[in-house]
Amino acid sequence: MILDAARRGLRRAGALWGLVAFLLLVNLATAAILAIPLAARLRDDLANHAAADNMLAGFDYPWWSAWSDARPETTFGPDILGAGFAFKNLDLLLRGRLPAGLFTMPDPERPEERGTPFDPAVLALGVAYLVLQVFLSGGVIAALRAPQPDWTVRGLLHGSGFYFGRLLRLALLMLLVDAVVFAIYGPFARWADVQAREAVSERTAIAWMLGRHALLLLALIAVNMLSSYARVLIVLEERSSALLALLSAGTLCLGSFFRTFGHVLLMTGLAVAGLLLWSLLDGHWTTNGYKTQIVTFLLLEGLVFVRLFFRVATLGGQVTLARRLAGGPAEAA
Amino acid sequence: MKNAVDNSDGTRTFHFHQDDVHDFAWVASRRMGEVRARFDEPGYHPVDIRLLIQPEHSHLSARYVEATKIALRSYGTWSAPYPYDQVTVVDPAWTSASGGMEYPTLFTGGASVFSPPALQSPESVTIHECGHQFWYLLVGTNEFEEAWLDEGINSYHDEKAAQIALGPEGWGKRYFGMLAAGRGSRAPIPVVAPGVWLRRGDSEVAGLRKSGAFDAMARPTWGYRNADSYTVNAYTKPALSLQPLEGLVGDEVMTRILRTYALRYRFAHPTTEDFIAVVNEVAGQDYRWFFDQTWFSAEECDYAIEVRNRPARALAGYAEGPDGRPVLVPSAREEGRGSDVRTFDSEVIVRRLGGVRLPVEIRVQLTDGRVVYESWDGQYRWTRFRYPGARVRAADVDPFGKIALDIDPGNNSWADNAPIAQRAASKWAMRWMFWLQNFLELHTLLG
Repeated sequence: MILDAARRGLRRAGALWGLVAFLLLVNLATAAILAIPLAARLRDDLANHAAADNMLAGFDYPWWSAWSDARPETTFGPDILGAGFAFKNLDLLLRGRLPAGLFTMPDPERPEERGTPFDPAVLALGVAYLVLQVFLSGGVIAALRAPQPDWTVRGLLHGSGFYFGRLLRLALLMLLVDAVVFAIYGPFARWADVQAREAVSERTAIAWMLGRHALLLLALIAVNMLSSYARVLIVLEERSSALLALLSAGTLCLGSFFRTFGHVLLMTGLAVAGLLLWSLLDGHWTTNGYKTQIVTFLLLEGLVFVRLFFRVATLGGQVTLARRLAGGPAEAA
Repeated sequence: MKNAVDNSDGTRTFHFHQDDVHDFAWVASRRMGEVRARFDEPGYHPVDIRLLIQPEHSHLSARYVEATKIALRSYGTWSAPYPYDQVTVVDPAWTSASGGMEYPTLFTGGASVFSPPALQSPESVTIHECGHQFWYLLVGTNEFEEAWLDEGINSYHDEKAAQIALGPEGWGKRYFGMLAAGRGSRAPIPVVAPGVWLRRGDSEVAGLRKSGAFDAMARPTWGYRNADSYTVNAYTKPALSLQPLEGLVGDEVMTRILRTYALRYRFAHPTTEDFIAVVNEVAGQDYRWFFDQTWFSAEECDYAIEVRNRPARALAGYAEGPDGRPVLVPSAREEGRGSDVRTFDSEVIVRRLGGVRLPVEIRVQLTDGRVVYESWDGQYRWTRFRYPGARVRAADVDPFGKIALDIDPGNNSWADNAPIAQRAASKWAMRWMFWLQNFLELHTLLG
């Protein structure tokens, strides 16, 4: 059933590739809000400096070091290069910096510090994007539930608007659930760190450190799965109560935990495989002219497209599983 | 070890002996493995290397040994050969907080299970701690009152040795560590940024920017403002300041200075004044002014350059002729040349933004292909170089990077490169946007 749900989800996402491209445009346009001003600032700061030549051919670390010291909240740095962007983002997630630093876990020895400075504009944009995706998710699920997947922008926006109120209430509930997860995780993380510090061997310590991070990630994935099924139920069954939809989703997921969680893990694994394949291609040429910039841009946006594709495919698979597990009518193959 | 005697009460007594040392240390562990190697190269005293290594780091044994040999070879050339028969390298236990320490003929390194070679760990700490054998041990300066004579000179040498033997260092970040990173613990997963390479001193300048103005370097350690100031003034600033001294006197003279100092003051506990006296003697000049600017001052070093290329103003109207009588010079329009004149008058202005006054070199590249080298004593706040009838394409102050103390190397160069700046900006903004797109998308995991 897991493989069948995955296959159906991928097929539906494939049929709705235009919708995925639309989501990519939304993602790109949102990011461009801050990327365009950054480009202008970098152009002005690099103009008439030899560092411009170095930055075009590679990365001028001394120039960047002084530039970032003057902007301590900046998120532009060498840690976003290659596959580093994925590690940086995962680290931010697991330290509770998303969204907007709500769940930040401070250093227990320096509780007054709430982590390194972080650009508030980026954090605010993250919150705006989250709300935007909550809005769009209703329309996306509505497109996925149709017997023959099809979509138009108008239909998407109509469906999104129709379900937005309920999905927003659900999103707020899920943030509360995330808060509970981080609240439980904090003391556990400090306890696990004590075990790591007391370990005789670094290998044992690594097991503790990576283990607790992996547990949190799995917990967040599980909570997200719950949220996804609640959204699917709201749309499939026209539920008006976010809380009841959440409880139904909980019953559904717990009743078929291995299927539902197994499906999510499979899709996550496929997305990670996509990232690994991408990282093999990235960096094999120097981006130093407009032609190479176009090629690099296509490669970068290609990965974002794949990521969005897997998100839609996962939702599609969850629509299939929700119907089957709720004992609804079988879908057409 | 001289002998081991079994006692009647079931204990065992070990006797160790070493001539010409002023301290000792010992280490014991059930877990450590032992690796033996030998440093035996022409011109050097042979040394037995004994590496005591944690089992989870055994895959790093060869790197530990090679780094020790790099130190023995480099420092042996640049100061004085290591005279003892053996050296013990200890890979410290996890969170023992005993890494990065030095004792006579024994030092501790520091490693992690995942150690990409680009990050030069454990090499950098091994070279540094082995290097202490030559300064802390053999010369024996006062580490409380004049910390820079050991840590600073050692840091200068270890960076030079690593750069020559291993090449530039990569830049990386470690992830998924503890909430409170204590001494002796490191986050487990390193990620190396592709294509980012640090030259000698690059990673130290940020510390100088942050804390370099707190204190004059030459102060007792208890007189520094805080721990950051101690780190900068004991390690960073002396190491970076010896690079411009090397630039001033030349690499060969610098090596002779340090060899003379190391050999003359072996086991003699010299002071800063002794070191300065050796510099003056070997260099054949009084460099007291250099140390007054760098070691005995809290001033910052920052040079900047700017260029003005202006179309040449054509002479028109009455002007003094060759015989001193006024001559009417027709304007370009009257001569039918139009305003399409392509000659430039250019000027290069070099400014001293910080308080440290050092002589600097300036390199000016003109559009006609000429490369002009200028020099300036750096005493006043600025100086100007004019190039009538020429246009400047690029200009650099300190073009060879000798003044490692400069806290903002980015303003040391000027280039007529607006289109390149545009392309570089769009390249990196695009890469940052890609990170941001993924960052935004990650929010869908929540809520």
